[in-house]
Amino acid sequence: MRYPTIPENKVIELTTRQIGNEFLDDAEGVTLVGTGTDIDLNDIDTLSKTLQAELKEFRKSDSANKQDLFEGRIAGRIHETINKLPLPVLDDPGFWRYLAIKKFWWLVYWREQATFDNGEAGTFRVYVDAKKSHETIPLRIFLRGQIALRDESYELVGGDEEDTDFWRSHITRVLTWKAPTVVQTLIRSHQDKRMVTKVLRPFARRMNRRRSSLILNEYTDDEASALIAELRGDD
Amino acid sequence: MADQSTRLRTTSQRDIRPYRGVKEIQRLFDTVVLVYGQDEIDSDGYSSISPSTYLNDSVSLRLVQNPESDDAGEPIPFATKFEKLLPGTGLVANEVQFLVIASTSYLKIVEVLWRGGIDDVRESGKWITLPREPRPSPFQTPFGGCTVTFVAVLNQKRDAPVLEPKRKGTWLARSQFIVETELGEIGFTPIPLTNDDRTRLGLPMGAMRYVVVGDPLDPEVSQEDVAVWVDAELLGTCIANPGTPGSRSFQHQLLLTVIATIVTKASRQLQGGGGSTEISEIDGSIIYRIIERASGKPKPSAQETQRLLELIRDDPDKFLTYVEDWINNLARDLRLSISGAPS
Repeated sequence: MRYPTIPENKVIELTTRQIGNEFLDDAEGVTLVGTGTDIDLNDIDTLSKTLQAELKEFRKSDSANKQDLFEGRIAGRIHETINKLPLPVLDDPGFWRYLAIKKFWWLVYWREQATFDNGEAGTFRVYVDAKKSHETIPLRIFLRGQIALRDESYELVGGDEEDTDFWRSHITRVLTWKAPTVVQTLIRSHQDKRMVTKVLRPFARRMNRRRSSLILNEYTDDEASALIAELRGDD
Repeated sequence: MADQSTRLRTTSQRDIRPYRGVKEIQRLFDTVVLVYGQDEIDSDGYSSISPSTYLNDSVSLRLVQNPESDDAGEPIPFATKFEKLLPGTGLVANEVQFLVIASTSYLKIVEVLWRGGIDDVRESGKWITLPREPRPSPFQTPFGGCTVTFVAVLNQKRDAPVLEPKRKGTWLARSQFIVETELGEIGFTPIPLTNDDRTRLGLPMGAMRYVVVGDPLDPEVSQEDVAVWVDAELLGTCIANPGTPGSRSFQHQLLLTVIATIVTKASRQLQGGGGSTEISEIDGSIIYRIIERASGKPKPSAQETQRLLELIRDDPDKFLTYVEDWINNLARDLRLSISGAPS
């Protein structure tokens, strides 16, 4: 198995050139890792084209400036397609750098355009260098799909509201993801009755305190619901 | 006993448990050892193993490490000792569940690999063997590494007086093990070295390895400024045969070559007055990360890091012996590689 990666020492150079609209050959800056048959990236190419077309329409809609919204809408499909690849490939940050800079650059750039246009490598690199999985754009969207997946459905992934901050600050960046049933219950509870920031923050503190003394992995749906209801109180 | 490369975390990081009787049970859990291939990791410890071991070898928990023994001189089994201590918490055996949970933070994957009651632990005897086929997802992530947790929890909600657990999932005691590989630790990604590269870089056609390093003492320079070129064919062969002793030795040697290049450059700069010898001023630099890792502690003291920085300046070759010390199984793999014995 052989797959494309972008080494860390190429990230800034390639990203800067992408920002400058310099044409990048598909293979430029790419290191192939492994031996044997290349992994099949056709589905990813097809998905990227489909989503790019959707973005074009989205930008014409009333929601055009709600970038978070688009992230939620595509998370299920991003996860479903990319998750077909072997796990050791997905674990390699170099592969995610390749996806960010080569395959999904149109999405990455649109999502954080102001940061990229500013040209400060120290600021924009977090969205492409795959060091922090909850920040790098295609990877964080993939993780959102993964955490939401339940009984082969991505219903919990959201996309009707702007939820990126909720996901990033309260699901993927903290340890909540470690208890799948509880985290899915939390997402559903938030979808049913949204917590605004001033409610969400104290809730998160209560959740973190509780999590430090409990191992929540064996909680059933009912037990998770009771826990979330208790922690939310009357909001 | 864990090998030299296993490091212990400070016990001060432990959570304070507001329940009676759990301190004694925690002491029992402190004796549990994670055995990953041939590497042993103490409770609350971490270890760096080869990517090949990470991806392929068996993983087990060893439960009998009790210094106490029974009248016949045999070590007291973990389950027996646990049952003896449990009444001190106010719980009975059927209220407790044991879990082995593995997680990998980078890809946010968590799996419960083993669950059972006290009878299951007793039946397991000295070993809890974790599933190998299909291989658990957290054991397929050599870049991200994983955390394995062995824990005893309350398995149901209960009415309880103060100082006794009452919520389901309350943990009584746990052992945690952090497993990493060289890939995740330093993260130098080798770049295939072709003849075109050799010409461009001004290298002879027989060059096999070439390391280019930015200023190793500059906190603004990160590992992305380290380029490690390796002969393309050799690299391909190594990747295709990751588990052979020769391949493992080569991976180890490559890491040593990279670090030796960095350390040598840093030493020259320090000797020539081209860099600060104050550890606080190089915090965050490549050399600082190497010093931290070579110290063998997750958070070494400023005094210790300062000492190692001065060692780099005064005796870089001696510092490199600390690096050899952190690479697990280096000597074993070299021996196997030289003798040609199978892995």
